Amino acid sequence: MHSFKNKMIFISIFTIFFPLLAALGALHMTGGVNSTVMFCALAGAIIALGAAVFTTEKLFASSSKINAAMERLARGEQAEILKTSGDDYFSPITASLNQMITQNNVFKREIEAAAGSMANGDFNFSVNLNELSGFYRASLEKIAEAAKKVGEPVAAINAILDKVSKGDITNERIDIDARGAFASLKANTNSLLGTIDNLLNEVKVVCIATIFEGKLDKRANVSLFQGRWARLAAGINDIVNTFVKPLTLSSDYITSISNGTIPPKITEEYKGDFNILKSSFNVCINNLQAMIKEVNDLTHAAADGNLKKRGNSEKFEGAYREIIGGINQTLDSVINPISKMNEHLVLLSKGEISGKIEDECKGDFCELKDSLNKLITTLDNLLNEVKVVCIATIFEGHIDKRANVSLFQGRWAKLASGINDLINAFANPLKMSANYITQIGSGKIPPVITEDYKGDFNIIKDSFNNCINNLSNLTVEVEALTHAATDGKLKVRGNADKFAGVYKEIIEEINSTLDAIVNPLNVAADYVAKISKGEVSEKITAEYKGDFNDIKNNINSLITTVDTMLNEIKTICIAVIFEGKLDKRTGASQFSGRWAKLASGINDIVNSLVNPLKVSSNYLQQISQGEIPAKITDEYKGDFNEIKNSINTCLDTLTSLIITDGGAALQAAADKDLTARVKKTYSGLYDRMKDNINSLIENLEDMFKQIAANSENVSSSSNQISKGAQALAQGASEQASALEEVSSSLHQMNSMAKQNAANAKEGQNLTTSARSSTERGVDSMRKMSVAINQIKDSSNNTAKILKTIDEIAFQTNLLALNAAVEAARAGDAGKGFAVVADEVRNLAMRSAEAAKNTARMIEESVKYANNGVSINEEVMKNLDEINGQVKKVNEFMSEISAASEQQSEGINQINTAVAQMNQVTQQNAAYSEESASASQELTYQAEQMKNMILQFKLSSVKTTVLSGGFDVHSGPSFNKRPVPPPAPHKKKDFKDFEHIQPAAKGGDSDPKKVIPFDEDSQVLQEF
Amino acid sequence: MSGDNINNYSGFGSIATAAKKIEGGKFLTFYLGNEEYGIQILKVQEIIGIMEITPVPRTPDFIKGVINLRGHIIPVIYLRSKFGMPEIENTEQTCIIVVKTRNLIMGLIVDRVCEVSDIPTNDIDEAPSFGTFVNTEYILGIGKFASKVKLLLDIDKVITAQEYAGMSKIVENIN
Repeated sequence: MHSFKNKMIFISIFTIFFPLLAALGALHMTGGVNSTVMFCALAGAIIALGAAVFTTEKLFASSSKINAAMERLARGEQAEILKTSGDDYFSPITASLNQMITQNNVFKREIEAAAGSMANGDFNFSVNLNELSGFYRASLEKIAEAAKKVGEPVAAINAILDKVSKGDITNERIDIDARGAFASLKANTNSLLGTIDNLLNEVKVVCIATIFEGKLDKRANVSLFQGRWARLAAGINDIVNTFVKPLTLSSDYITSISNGTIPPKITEEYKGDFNILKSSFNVCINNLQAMIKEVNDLTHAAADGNLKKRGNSEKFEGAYREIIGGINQTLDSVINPISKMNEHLVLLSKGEISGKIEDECKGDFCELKDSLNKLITTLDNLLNEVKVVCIATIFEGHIDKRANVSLFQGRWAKLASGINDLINAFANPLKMSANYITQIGSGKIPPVITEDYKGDFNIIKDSFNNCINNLSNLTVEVEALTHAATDGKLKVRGNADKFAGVYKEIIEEINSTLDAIVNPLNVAADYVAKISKGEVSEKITAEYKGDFNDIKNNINSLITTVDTMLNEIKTICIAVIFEGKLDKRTGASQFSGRWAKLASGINDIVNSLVNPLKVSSNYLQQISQGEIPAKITDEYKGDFNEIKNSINTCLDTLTSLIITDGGAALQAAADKDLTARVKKTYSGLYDRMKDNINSLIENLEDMFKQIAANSENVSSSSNQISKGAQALAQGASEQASALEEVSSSLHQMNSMAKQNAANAKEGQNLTTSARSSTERGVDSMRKMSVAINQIKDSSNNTAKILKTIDEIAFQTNLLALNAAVEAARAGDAGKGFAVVADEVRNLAMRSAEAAKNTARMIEESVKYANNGVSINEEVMKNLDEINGQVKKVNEFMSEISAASEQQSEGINQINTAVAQMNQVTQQNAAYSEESASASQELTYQAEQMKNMILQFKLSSVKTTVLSGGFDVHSGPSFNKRPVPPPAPHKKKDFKDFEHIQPAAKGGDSDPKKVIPFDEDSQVLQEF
Repeated sequence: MSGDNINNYSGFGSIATAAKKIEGGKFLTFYLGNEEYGIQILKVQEIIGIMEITPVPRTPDFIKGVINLRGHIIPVIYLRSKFGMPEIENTEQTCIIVVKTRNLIMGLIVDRVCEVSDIPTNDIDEAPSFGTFVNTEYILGIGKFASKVKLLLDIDKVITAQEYAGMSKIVENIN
């Protein structure tokens, strides 16, 4: 309305201004301004303007109503019918608007009705098109049509779903022409149908497989489905599984039970009916196991022969009890006939063939009974036959009797024929044996059996053959013995080892018979042989019988005679030869016959020998007693005369030698006249005796002469010896004292040597330490040398630095001078600078001076260092020399030490030697004392000897031999020199020597005192 | 030896009387042998240590050669030779005093540089005359000190004009 109002205003304005514009335009056209026209135009315009404002007011009121209605319409609100004012400009508009509102309301009502039907599921509703026109009508019609179109597929789907809900699921699908959402609804419904169909199919397949075909493995194919359908399929499978698993298990159990294996109890957990099933199974298994155990027990009992054992049917129930009862009955019905049969068989086995079995039996047991009865009959027959044959063969000896085989059948017939064969097998060898034994009994040795036999018959055959062999061998042996006996080989015996048993005994008997004959013969032969060889042995003591006893007795008497004869001869021989009893003779009377003659002959021989012997004996006895008897004057013959002559000659010789000639000479010598000699001539040993006597006397004479001469010499010599010995004793004592001094000196020397050795060792130690010190010194010097050289080096370095400083100073100086030159050039302005330059120069000069001084000092220090180095070297050299010398000293010291030790050892040895010397000296002293006294005694003895010799008459004496005016003939001259009585001469040992006081010795000069041996030895020990 | 020469010269010095005053001032003193000499300091350019001298052939004995002083080739005079003193080995203290004379810069080799000493006019005597046969023209004067004297050289005259010309020629030739 506002727009309308605006429009009105716009129109009004246009209408107002248009005249204005027209007026203006006219003005412009005329080209001249006419104020009246303009005024008119202006008034017209104002009038027009007022009219326009009035009209506009009216219009505005109408249009606002219309506008409000239209606004409601525009907002979708139900507008009310507008009132029409006839003269209004807007009345047509209002009418149209009212019509439009009416149409609108109707349309709304119809649409609402349609919507309500559709909301109530009624798509097949009818619409009232009468009040509507135009597009409202068309729209409503289309809506109705669309609703119908919607209703169609819904109905179709509904129909199908109705069928489905009733279980009538066919292959029918929705086959309507649907579009858009209905197409997808159709497709979905169809796919739902397909899914349901598939599911049903799967379930059907599974059901058919499991229920009708028993294929419990069949499952629904889950992969065919999706979402919940898949779950449904899986659920079905699970249900099937839930049934199938216990079923399979049950099936397995039942299978294994039917196969005879009792499975273990089911332990898995099941629920509900399955659990009942499980426990039923377990109960079944228990029962089965118990039954099996019972049956097993029964079987074991039966196997163990315990046929009385029965199953305990009370343990079981129902069919199991019946089974066990049945088993028990079966056992009863089987075992009773068997035990009866058994009783009969026991009797049979015991050999008691009783009558036939009369008990009633049934079925197979009846057959068994008949068979047993048949067996009893057959056995009876067989026994009879065997009895007949046994009686015939054993008791009556009818070996030809055989059993009647025709009475038996089958094996029994074979048994009977076997018995016959057996008898045959025995009978044949028996016959042959009888034949052979008969032959042997009649002395014929039959040939060896060569036929073949077996087993024991072979043994019999071998025995026969052995017997035959033995008999043959025996014959051969006996023949050999007989031949040997006829050949005189009495030592041959039968070899019994070749035979055994009786044959051996036979041969042994033959051997012992031979022994009985041959042994006495051998003994007799032995004895005779022994007697012939002179071996008279003991008498035969063995017992012999008959003729052998005679032989024995004769031999014994021979042995006795020979024995007695021998004893007689032995007695004579012992008496004559060993005992010298020449009177003994044999008793001839003891013997008889030739034996008596033999005895008297022996006596005669003895007599003829004994007589001359007795005469000779008598003479020899006299000679041995120192009497020379008169010559034998009796006459003897033969050899005995020669004996007589010899004895007489002997008597002559003895007389001359002992009494006249030799005796005189010896008498003279005994009278101290050594000039007489044996003069006659003798032969043989007597001549030698004469010579010996003569040479004895001559020797004696010579000896006495010599002794006479020597005794003088001995006398003087012994005097000299005595003096010498005394001097020696003196010397020995002096020597002993000297030795004491030597010993003490040696002692000192030894201690000194020891001290020397110790000192030398100490010196060696000192020198060793000195050496190490000097070595250390050398080392230190070397270090010092190095240090000095380092100092030198550093001094040189410092000198270099100083040189540098010097150079710097020089350069500074130059700089300062240059600065001064510059300052001078600068004139007055450079005066300050000149001063600075001068100062710098001074500093440079000073530093140069200081460097110079330092350099000089360093030079000095280097010089000193050099000096130090050279001194150091010198010191080192000296130290080296010292070291070498110390080394030498050390060596010397060690040598001295060794030498001292050696010296000490030497001194020890010397000491020992001196001790030995001392001992020797003591001994010497003792010996010299002894020799002094011995020489004195010697002198005395010599004098005595001289006196004694002077008593002998000697043929001539050479005076020149005797010295010292000794004259044989001037015997008294001996007396002029009285010999002091000899000191009591005895063997003196060392101890005794102490008590002797030699004349030439003072009391102090006793060597024992001079040399204290014990002490010395002590010292030596200490040493 | 050099001392002897000097003494010989000074031996005749007593005859001379100072007619003309030599103005005092700063002198750079140096030693040749035992004698101390002085040069007017304004004549001195600088003092350098002895350095490598390149000998130049066919030059008088007193010309040692030339040196390269920071790019300038300057002749070097061996003052000992010039003064008839024997040559000695260079020491550490041997120096070259670079002087400028008559527009020619040259080096003087001296035994050692001593100091810059201020010599008042009163202490300077005229060089004694030794007769006509001795040319003492190059001696500016004699500075007196407590017990010794310093010969103050007129460096312009130490080198004769001829020598100067020769040296200039050398320098030119080289440059």
